[in-house]
Amino acid sequence: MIGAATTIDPGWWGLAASMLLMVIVLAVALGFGINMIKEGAVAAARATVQLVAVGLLLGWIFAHNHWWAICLMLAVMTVVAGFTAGQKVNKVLKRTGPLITLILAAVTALTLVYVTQLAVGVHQMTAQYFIPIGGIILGNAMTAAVLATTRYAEDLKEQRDKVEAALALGASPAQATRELLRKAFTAAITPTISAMLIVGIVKLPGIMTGTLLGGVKPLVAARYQLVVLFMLIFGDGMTSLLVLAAVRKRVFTSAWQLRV
Amino acid sequence: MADGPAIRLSDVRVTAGGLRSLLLDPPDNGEDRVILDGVSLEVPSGGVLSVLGESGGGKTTLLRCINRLIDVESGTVQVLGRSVRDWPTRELRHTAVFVPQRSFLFGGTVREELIHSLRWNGRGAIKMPLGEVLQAVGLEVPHDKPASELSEGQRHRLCIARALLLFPKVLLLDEPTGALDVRTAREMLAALKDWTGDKGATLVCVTHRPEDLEVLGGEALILLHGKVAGRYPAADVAARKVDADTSAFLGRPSGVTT
Repeated sequence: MIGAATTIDPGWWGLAASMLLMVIVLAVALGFGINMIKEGAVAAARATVQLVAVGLLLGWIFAHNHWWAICLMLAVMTVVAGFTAGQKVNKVLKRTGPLITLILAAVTALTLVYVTQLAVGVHQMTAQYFIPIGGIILGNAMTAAVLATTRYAEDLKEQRDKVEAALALGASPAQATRELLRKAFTAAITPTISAMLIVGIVKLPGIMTGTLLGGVKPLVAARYQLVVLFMLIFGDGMTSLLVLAAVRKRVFTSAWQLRV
Repeated sequence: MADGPAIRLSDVRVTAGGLRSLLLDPPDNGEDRVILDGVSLEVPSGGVLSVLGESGGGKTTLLRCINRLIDVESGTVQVLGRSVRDWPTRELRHTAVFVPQRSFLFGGTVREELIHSLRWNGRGAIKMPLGEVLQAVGLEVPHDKPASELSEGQRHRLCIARALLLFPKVLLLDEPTGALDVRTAREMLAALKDWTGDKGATLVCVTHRPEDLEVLGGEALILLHGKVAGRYPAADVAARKVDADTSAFLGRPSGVTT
């Protein structure tokens, strides 16, 4: 555990009590003539089943701490993230899933090793650190990859003729789309940068809230949150740049012709 | 090389389906329209060729395959005696420069706009006769004026001047007079022709205005349905001394062909 562990377990009754909150708000909404009971029930059921399942699975992995189980878990998460990203990008550019998955795997592995070894100081492969940290890197990098790719491909299609006018003057694909690349990277990285600007002022970020609830001293929790933010900037930024470079390579032929 | 043609197309074929096959996400429509159908032509070094034809008749495609913005499906395209597939891309694009019909600015003042293409090439302030290339398109504007403040016609001439700064051996212009009034068009074409004549550059110019031919001189190629329908001295086309089909085409109001 991080720092002194004094975690209080809500228990099943506690969970039931919290669920009652949802029932109350749905009942009040019904009083206003808004029937959200079905949606609420489905969401509550799915969240419960998914999280309890993950809790049980992680419980087993944490208890046994097999290196292969940790790797397998991270691999499955990466593939799901890559697939999800591919699905989202599909509307503007097809078949990017495998590409994004590959880059997510490389960036996540690199970031994870760096952060655990140099920042957190966990020198063995410990499920308790590797899986949550890997998960947060992946989740954010996936969003960044989707934002960057979508923006780049959309802008490229919209400004196709202008890009081709630059190619016609001898610009390389990189030169012809420099501005598009800058905009795509900015779009991908801005959410995290914006979050850093207001962090701690408007609300306590997720990791800090989580570690505080886990019984960690506030200053330690703050340091953890900062480590996570810097780590996310790296993961998001690196993923975006690599994905953009790969996409740029795909949307032009070797003879500098546009393929979209 | 000085003796051979600047441009040679042999039996060039381009279809909509062929262009689509290059795309990453080709649309599903199965239509496979022929855009260029067995086009063969030669333009002598230093010559002037105007290309006339219906809208969608393959005029722009013809220009785009000369500097290899697209690849042809069959046949060969040669620039200065060398197949476009054997040219290093940047060298080809600087030797045969294509200026699209719409004008695109990349940002900055008139001066900055002009030197974009040089910067892309890593060429600095070595050879920048800005006044000369602006004069060659009949444009008199302060070099430090933001290019975005120019009128549409001025912008278009600026785009042509930007291409001239690369000192191309072959200049491929797509409807350069489209955004200009008749008098300005005439002045610009005359200045442009002087410039290319002076540099020994070859000029290929797509146009829908027969009156442009009077100024450009040289030869005129009529492209109908992707095929070469005829090739005449420009003066004859301007004077309508051509066969019935071509005459019928030229006889239409020019507005229809844009």
